[in-house]
Amino acid sequence: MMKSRTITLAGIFTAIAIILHLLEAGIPNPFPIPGVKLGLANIVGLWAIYTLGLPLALVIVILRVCLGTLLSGSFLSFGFFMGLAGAVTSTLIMAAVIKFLPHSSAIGVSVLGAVSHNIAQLAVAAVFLNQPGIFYYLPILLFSAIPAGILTGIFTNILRKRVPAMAKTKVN
Amino acid sequence: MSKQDRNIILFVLLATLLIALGFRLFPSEEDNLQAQITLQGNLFTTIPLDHQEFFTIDGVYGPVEIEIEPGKIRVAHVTCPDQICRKTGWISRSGQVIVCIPNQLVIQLIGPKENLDAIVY
Repeated sequence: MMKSRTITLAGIFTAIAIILHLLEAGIPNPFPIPGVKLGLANIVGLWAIYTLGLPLALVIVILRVCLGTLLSGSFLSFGFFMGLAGAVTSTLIMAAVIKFLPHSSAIGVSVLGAVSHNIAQLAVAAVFLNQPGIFYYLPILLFSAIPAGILTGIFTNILRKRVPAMAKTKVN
Repeated sequence: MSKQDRNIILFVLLATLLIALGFRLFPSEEDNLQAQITLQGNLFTTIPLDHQEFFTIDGVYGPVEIEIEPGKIRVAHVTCPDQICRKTGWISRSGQVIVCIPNQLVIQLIGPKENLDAIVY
């Protein structure tokens, strides 16, 4: 039986993630390139890995994609599957990076998370559209994943420091 | 930002550049490309682009020198005033065309792959 504190934290994380997801859809995108987002909701995913561990983080991230797309009317759409693939893959990769590259702060983890997020989304798009040529987009996506990853990593670092209640970490 | 962070970022940057370079240096090729050459609306000949060849055909305006190499074809020399067909250069993907209007010449590439220009969903 999970501690009620854990359940509550998971719920809060999920709510924040959904809000960030919807918020990001509402503001004009600073990147003029299609398919490139800031990925602010990934802050929460990464934070959840640190605070609650990988399994709960996965649940939070999957819930975020499902509920976020339900709320914005794109549930089970093309973007939903891309988002789901990207979110799950990046969460798994980020957990692995935290474990195997312990000297990196959230910034390095988040960059690799953003990179894997984009690659997974491209892969899903290529399969759905039956167009392997879509991978020509990879260099541009990777290049834009770096600043996005750095940004979310910086935010995660700050949040982990400033919100001690959620800082009791399972993972360092 | 820790040193490992910086290393990760540099690594990703390097990988991006390498992939971009790789795409430039190793473009994907198509097999079984055929060039369909049409004169005045009638089919003149269909040539597979699997060998090296240099030949001349008589367009309506003047002689047209066509050069073929494995996987690509171009108009090497023409006498038409605008030289648009020659300036088109090499074409190598199915669906691409070279057109010379004064000569009433159309060279179109036909292949098994269907190349889409854009996808909207």
